[in-house]
Amino acid sequence: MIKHIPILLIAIPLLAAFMLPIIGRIGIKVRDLVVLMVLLTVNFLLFYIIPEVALNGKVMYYVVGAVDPSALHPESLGFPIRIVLKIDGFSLFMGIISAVVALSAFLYSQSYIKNDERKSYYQILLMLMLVGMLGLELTNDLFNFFVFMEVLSISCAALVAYNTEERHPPYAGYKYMLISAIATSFLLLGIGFCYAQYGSFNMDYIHSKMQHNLIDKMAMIFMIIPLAMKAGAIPMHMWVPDTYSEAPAPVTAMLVTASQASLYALFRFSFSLYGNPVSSVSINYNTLGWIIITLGVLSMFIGVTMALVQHDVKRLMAFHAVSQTGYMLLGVGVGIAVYAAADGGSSFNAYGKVAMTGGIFHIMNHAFYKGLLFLTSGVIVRRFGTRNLDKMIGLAHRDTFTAVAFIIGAMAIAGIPPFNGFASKILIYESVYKFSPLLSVIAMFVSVLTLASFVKVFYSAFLGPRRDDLIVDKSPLPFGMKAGMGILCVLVVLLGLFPDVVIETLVKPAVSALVTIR
Amino acid sequence: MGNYFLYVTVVLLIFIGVTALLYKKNLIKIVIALNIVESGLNLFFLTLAYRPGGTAPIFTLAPGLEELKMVLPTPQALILTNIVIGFATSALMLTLAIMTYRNNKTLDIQKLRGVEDHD
Amino acid sequence: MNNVHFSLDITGIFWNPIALVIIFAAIMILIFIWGRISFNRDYNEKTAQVKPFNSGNVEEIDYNVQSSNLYWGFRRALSGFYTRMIEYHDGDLNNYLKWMVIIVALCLLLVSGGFL
Repeated sequence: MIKHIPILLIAIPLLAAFMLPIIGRIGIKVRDLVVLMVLLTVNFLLFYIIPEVALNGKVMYYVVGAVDPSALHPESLGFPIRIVLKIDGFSLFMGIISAVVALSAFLYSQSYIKNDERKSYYQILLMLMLVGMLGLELTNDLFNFFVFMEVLSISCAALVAYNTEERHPPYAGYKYMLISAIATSFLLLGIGFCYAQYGSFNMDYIHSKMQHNLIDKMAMIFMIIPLAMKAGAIPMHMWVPDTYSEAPAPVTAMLVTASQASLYALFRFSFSLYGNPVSSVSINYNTLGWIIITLGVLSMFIGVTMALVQHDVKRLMAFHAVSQTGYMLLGVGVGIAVYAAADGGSSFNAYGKVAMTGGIFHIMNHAFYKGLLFLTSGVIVRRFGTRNLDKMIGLAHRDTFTAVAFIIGAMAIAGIPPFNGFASKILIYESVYKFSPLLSVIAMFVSVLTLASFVKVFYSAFLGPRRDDLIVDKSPLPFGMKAGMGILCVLVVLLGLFPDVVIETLVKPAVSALVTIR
Repeated sequence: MGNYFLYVTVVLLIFIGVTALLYKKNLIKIVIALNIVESGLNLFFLTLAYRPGGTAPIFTLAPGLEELKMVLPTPQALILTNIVIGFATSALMLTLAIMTYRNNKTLDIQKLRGVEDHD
Repeated sequence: MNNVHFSLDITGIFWNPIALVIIFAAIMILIFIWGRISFNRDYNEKTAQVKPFNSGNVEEIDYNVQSSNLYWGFRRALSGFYTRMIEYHDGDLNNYLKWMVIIVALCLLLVSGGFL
């Protein structure tokens, strides 16, 4: 049974998503129970294969549609002929992040989204988002990747426009869909170039035959820059604040994970398609690394300086999502820049690998604390009826749980020990300092400004005298919302107290799955 | 020589589509421009798959092994998938444009700014 | 999992989080006990001493300094930067796509110039 897990991870939520209209006719509780069981099953399956894939370093292949799913190449042909799914360390790492954030967002949206006749569609789209993300992360085939990316884009755009009666959400959904459609069109152009050169869509086959000539380099640019746009890198990031602020709060927590799926694809294409060159002619990894480092440093700085002056609480947090994406780009960019350095790998072993570990660990930390912050912002917006920070005061008197969750999230994003932001940020600071001290100084300055803007949000939303006349929704906090925020709080604290457990178990196998020379 | 003509058409289609995306202000025209870009991409894959003198890639009633020459089938599957994805994308974007018009009474992206939260 | 240890191995700092949390909890308990013994409340409730004080207002007010005015110095110092950046983020879809086309064009120039 364990050899069928790659296809079960995609098939179970997909089946549930398409059966939900029928199950929803039976009753609301049955429908919610089915979705909860499906999410728990996906989480359990992903954690079940940690010992085999991550700790032993074995890569699970699954050939879809073959008699024996683990037979990669038919004997008579020289290249793979079917769609191949592949779970290695990095895919498992991203899959765990997507599944855990999906579970928290589902528990939160049980109480947050009203139970009217559209709630079934909301849950169907949430399941389809999870299918899109898991399919994108588990596949080894470029065509399959493109299809799952479109599934993810369409379901995300429809969920962003969920409140269709207000003025701005449908236009925000339109913007998201347009940006995603342009990104996937350019991506398809790059995939077409790769197919034209090598005759196959399989990523392993293209990697073994890659010649790094001019058309391949053009294909790399057409694949990497639109993926950076979807992940929210400067200067293509302007759709992020408009879209994240109009979506309902649990959907925004999932949108963060969707942007990180694009970041996963960016790193996967840089390393698994264009890495480990078999010939002496290859792309100049130093230049590619510096391009990614430039995008990262600009994202960090511009994201946080724009976040300092916002009036809208969700727009402020969306700018912080852009800024933290810059940290991940900086970490992995430093790793790429010293990947094929002329000193035989000593600088990569000294600080390149640590920078990549920090950048990739930051992906997990960012998903958890940014999801927690967006869920608490949902409580704030629900209580005050407005997103404007100037009209909020004194929520900590009523909602102590939310205030504590917000403090945990804000201290984690600022990089204060013992929360998990500190663990990944210090890995990035220490290794980037050895590469170039100026970048590390900019990163620390950005961290200070991050703390400043979250102090501003905490000051205006939670501190101050208690004014019950400004509070619109006076009901007590439901259990679903507390459970959703509670899971992420516990994970943030645990990952901060025991970072080495996660680094040895999940992050180092992810880095060694990406880097195959050294 | 015929293939070069088709590749030039692909480049022209993508160029026209991207230029219209960058300079048109109506929401519906942006959807049309996106469809032009996707048509260009479909034509690109179609031209990739062609082999001069090849038949359709079906084994039933195919000519004998000496003169068996077929066009590539995999990009044709990708073209069909892309057409369906483009259809779903256009349907979603047009629905969202209708909702935007119903809520805001305008389809002009210069008037739909809606962001007035900086001082 | 035989080489898992519960601390981050960075040279130069002491990072053992369990020991840090235990030390923090012990200091908190000491401060709590000392506070109960020697602190006492010396303000009067239900007078103006519990209301927020905003630089000398004589009438009673019930709001804080608006959060948009907290960092006015930083914003005034970087005002040129901010006016440019805010007009980029105004919601115009054409400009969003123009930036991506510009970056793709720049990177293609780098590729054809032989740098990448």
